[in-house]
Amino acid sequence: MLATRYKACALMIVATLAAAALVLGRETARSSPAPVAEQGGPAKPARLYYGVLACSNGGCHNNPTSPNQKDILLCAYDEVDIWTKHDKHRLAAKVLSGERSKQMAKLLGIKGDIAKEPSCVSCHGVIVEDKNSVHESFDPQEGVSCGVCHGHYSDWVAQHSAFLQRKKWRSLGRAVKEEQFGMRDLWDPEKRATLCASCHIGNAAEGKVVTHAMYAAGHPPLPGVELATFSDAMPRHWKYLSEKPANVQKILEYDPSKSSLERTELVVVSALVSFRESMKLLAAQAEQGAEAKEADRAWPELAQFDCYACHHDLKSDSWRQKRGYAGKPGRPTMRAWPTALVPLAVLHVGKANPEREQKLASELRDKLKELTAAFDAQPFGDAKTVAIAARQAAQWADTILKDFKTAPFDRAAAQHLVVGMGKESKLRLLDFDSARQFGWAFRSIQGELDPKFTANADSAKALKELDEQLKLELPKGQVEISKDFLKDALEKLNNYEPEQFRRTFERLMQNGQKQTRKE
Amino acid sequence: MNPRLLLLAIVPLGIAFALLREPDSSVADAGPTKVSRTPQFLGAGSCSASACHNANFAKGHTGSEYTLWITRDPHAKAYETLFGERSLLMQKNLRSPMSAHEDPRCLKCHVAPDYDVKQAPPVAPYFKTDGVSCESCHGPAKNWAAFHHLASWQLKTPAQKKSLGMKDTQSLAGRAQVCVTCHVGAPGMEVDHDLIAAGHPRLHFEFAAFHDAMPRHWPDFKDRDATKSARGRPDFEARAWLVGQLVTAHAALELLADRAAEKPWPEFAEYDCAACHHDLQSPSARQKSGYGKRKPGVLPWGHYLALSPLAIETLAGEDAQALRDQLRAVQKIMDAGNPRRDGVADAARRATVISRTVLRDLDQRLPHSLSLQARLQTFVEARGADLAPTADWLTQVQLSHAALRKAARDLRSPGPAELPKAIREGLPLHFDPQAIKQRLLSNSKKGS
Repeated sequence: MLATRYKACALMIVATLAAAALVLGRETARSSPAPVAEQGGPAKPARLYYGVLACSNGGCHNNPTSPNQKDILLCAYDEVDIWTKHDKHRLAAKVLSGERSKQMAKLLGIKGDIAKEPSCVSCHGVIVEDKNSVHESFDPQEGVSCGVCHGHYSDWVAQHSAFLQRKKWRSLGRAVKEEQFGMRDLWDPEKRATLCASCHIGNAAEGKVVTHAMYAAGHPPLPGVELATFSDAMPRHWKYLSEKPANVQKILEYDPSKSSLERTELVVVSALVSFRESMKLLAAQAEQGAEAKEADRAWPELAQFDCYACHHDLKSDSWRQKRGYAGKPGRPTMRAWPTALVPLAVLHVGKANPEREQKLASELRDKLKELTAAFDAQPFGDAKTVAIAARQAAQWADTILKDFKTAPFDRAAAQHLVVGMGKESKLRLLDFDSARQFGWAFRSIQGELDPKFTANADSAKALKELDEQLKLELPKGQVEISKDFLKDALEKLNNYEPEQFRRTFERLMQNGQKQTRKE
Repeated sequence: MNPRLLLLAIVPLGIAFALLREPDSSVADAGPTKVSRTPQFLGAGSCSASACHNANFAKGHTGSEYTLWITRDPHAKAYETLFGERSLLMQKNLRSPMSAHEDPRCLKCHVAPDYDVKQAPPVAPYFKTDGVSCESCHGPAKNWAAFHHLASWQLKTPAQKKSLGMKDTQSLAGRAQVCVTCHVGAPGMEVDHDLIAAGHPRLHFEFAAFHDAMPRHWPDFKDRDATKSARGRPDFEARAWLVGQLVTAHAALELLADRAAEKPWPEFAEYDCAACHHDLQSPSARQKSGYGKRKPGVLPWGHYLALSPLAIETLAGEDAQALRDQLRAVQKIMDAGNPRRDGVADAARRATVISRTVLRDLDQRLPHSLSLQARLQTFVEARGADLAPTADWLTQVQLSHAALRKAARDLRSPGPAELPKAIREGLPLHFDPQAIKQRLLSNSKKGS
């Protein structure tokens, strides 16, 4: 008893000392702003959780009309304004107190406040790891706000806005800003895609995982993502680099002479990143499941499987049975959509380097074959083999991302991709989510190649039909997805007919190619 | 001695003997170890001589069996089905190197459990084309066809008859056993999820309701009229339901144990199809009604055993209670989600050990007179709070309900209240557990 009390005392003293050290440390960090690059820079940027107010006060990011600065503006100053009025991410924390979340908490047996449940907050807000690193502006109700994506670090927030530091800050390269100050380099499409994927697909290491239990309790199904389309639907609070003035382009390391089609690049990069991240998640879940003793952590984690392999009404005249199965009938496989556009990435690399394309294509075939075999070995797959195959597939995707550095996304490349997409879509009957990948990718790439594409009446009609089948048009503004949109999207999913999609898509492709040729 | 009395003595004894061996051996016959005892089938043609089972007599009388079977009984088409479009699709999806009509996996149920393609006896080259014919249920006739019409045959015990190859279809348990071998499945002859995904319809079974729907090629009064037949019982339908539940439960548990121990695991065919196979909807009726004792996202098991606790309640004997407890234990393992195969195999195996002893002297355990009228409601009511109906559960309720209402009519006693139309017709594509639950509960209040 006495010993326990001593222990408690000792613990308290240690804790107090530690807290004091942290507070003091933070104060020091604040009072003497971190030195900029030439002076070495901080070894590791210091965490500080900010609220939206920190970005909007002082007439900064919510002041589009009267910028009070004379320096070059890297942004439009209306970011907080757009985010507050239109961005769905603002609702992320609020939905946790809604009816659906209450129902989920009840079914999942979550007793406490669901708005504080780490498995929810990891994506719906901010997990504060250290209570001493919270800025006074921080408000957990703000959901997925500025800092979540741009980086919760005091160094860059202070530096990029402080009057005396601004000029110097802007002269720093993107990499330095990220590595030394903690401002995430979201201009890099791969990094942006990886960040989005961490919630929209999942990231086990960051505790961002939607489990099948969560789905069954009411979490809306995570749809496939195509970043160019999803960014526009946010809506974007930034401009593409190609849309910015020349002096800003220079600062942000963009070379306009390369005439890079940024949307097209984003489509292909996000396709590959989606594949890589879903493979990583799959591997992590399979590894955990193979070791776990508790039933609710053990493999299979059903959320890692193709939802609609099982979740469809049984029909006697079934397109799935007509299509046939990659492996044994009746053995659920992984979700197909993250693999749908990967062949396009291979195709893109191949435009500059046909030999490399052959090698990559055969590697992709092998990777997918290994995955199929791992899932086919027994119902729900052999967890260990699945994990190994998925890890290898993720590594493989990473190597292609490096290939992109020497494969420019110019007009010829985009045209090459559209043609390739047409061929690829005919190879097999696509499931709903994969068809959506093709639909979105086509709209994004063709739209960038030829913004007037929909002026053609038949193209516009075909696109409308495609939207009817696949619900490609995402809701604008702060619409709660789980309400009307989800109901409608699920209805489309339930009525989806792959052969009908194929016909419409083919028409669309032909029109698109005709129009591009005409130019 | 009065031959009827003798029969009265023989029949229960026979049932006991049959039950002592039947569940084991008839099932194990399919296994490769018994190849030496290759059954000798003669084919329906051998039974259909006009002087015998094809005498054109009125329905249900001796002599009418073949005619009735060939014209009315769907079993006669079982082999033909293997040539259909669906069978071709299945063969394609399964990447089967052989045609469905040559595949032993198909022929075991679409012809006869004991039928071995390779060892087809030359005596009946066309046997398999008869589909599920006389000998599929009554047993290979080579060793008894020549004697079974003689008076001396009637003096043989069911065990003796069985040793010559004739199966017991006189006792309810024996009859149910014949049906469940295919309609529920047995180790080595099952409709698993591979087959279903390839195109095979999923199996549903409730003995009394299926028995009632089958065109009978035997005299019905022998089952029901105690004054005319030793096996006749006025509460035949009620007994059929009860015995059917127990035999089915035993078969389902044996299959589960085998699947968990030997086969690819998990086996999805063990679960409620509609639990996964439903269009996703928002808002979702399933989520609103909750999942009872199951965690969200855990597959619901217990299709064939939905109402077996109700049946077991009526049985005498301490091991009946033990069986109920063991069933509960199996259910608990299956409901925990991601059940480990060794645990399942062990628990299911234990349950079959008990159910086998219960089936052995089932006749002595059955209550003297059955009053099942209110039980169904009581059961639904008792489960009220944690009731999370599944489509399979509802199927069992519906089929049992049909059987019990018929039983009550036979006994001229009040039966369970009629199920509302919404439930009768409500094995819906868009199964709504909450609505079903409410209707069932409000109905049971009305009925009681």
